[in-house]
Amino acid sequence: MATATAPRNDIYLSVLAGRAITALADLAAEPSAWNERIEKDLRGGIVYFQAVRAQGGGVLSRTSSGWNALKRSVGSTPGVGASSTDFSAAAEKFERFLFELVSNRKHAPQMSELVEVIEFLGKTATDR
Amino acid sequence: MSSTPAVRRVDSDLERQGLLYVLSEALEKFSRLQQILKRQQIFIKVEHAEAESATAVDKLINYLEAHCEMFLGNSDRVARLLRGKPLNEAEEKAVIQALGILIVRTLQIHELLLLLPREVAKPQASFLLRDCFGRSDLKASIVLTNQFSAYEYRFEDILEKVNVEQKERVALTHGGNVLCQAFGDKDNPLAWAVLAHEYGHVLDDQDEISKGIVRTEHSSGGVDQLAQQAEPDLGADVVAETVADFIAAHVLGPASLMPILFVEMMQPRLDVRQGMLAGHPPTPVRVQLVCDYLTQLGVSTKDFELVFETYKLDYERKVQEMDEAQRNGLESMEKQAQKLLSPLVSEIASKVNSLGLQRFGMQNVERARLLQQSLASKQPISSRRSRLDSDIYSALGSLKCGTTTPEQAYKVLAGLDEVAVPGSEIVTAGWLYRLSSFEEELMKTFPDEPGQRADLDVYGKYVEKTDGLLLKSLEAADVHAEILRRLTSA
Repeated sequence: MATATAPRNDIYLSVLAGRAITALADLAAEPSAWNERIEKDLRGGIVYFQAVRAQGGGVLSRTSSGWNALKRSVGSTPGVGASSTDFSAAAEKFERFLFELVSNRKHAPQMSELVEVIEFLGKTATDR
Repeated sequence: MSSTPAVRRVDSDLERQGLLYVLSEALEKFSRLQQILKRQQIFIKVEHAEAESATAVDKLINYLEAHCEMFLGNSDRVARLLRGKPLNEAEEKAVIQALGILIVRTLQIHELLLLLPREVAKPQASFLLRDCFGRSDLKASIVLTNQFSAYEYRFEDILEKVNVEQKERVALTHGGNVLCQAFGDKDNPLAWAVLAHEYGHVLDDQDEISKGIVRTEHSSGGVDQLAQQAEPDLGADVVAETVADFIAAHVLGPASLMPILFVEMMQPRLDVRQGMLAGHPPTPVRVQLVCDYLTQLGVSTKDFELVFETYKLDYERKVQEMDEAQRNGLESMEKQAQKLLSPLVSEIASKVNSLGLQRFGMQNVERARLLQQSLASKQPISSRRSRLDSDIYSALGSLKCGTTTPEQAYKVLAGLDEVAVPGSEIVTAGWLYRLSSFEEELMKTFPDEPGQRADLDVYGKYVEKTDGLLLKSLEAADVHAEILRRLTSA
């Protein structure tokens, strides 16, 4: 497991998620496309998952009571209705996946695995 | 383990169409927001020429740009998707998710504009409403606000939410009604159909249309039945929203639905709210009722059919992605709304028709189709001749030196006079133009050259030019109509 790294102040978590998505898509298109940028963005994805787990999944959906009053939103997404335990478990699983991918570049992930991580990253980063 | 990715095509034409709509709406919203922030930045720099420290506006601009850069990392893939070229499943998902992140962050920054000095609404928004509703004085002000308030809440609703008593509410709205428009739609006449819906509420309140219908239904138990199942006053809200939808459709035709559908398609997920969506019936129910109403009025919705179909597919997909409880809740809401509204639709239509508003008819649709061509050639569409060119040529040819009297000559020359184009036709032509031109602009924005990044400014300029043409058209049409009115009264 990677050690926790605090996200830099000038990098936004949803940008980290988006870059990791792009890097995974690059690998899906060409598994031998490894380069520094892909590695950096996948490491950013690990940082993203750590931050999300550290805040119990609420990091991107933190809302003030005023906002909530206006928004009147019910339910949320990452695994809509999922408990924070399920959420953390999923985030940990995907964090490990990214870590293994970065540690062992030769590990060629299956399409279904890539799709799953991309969807999870996207859903958590767009959860308002 | 797969080293050779499986390649997938976008499943159907409609799915591709949906992606195009979402992409175009997202880039448009992004571009508009960027422009607002840059205007704010200039304002701050002028006000505080000495200040060097980063302002909140700079932060917002950087935040937006960071997300834009992230999305542009997928430029190649977007270019291929646009051209129907194959992508594997992960690549396709990546485009959709990266676009979703850009959309959500853009919308969130839009809401933060509440905290910055506000711009003011364009006078053309009032011109449009005055023309559509045939009123020289709307007795309503238009203010810019956040998207949630603009698209989902009325000023009166908010007064109610903050527990302002009924008597005070009457006093607060005594000076005229307040119509809310999203900050980002300031220069976007195509989105102003939402204002026509809001003004529909004003007319509904004045004439007590929905209240009257609900009162009658209460005595028969119809509305109560729904209210008991869901929330108090829900039935009344749903009826009031349908009245406002019909009023907007009556004066603007099918274009009245467009901004609502585009904004909803752009959202990565359906925003299910407590009770019926902030008082509105679920959107598919609204679309169906409005289309049926327009059919009764003899107005074809054919030009917008592709948008309706794409919206339907998008909605169904989002419903499928919900968890079971939410899905069941939404389906139940749809059934309740249909059950409540079905027996009331003809009464609502009849009351709206009796308001004496200018009716958007099939001839307006036909004229809008012609005007769309002028927009395509970058011409404003503020006026047109009421007679055909061929008739005018023929009449001019009949003039004979020595035999034609001055009266006859002036009568023929009067054929060259132009009339102002109604605002409803300008908006409809604007939508038709947008629907027919945006794909080409997306192609220019995302060139099909490997390694070349998209240039979102290309799409931004297209949006700005279209806005400019429509704003100019609305302004010139208003001036033209005013001059004709004065000449006539003189």
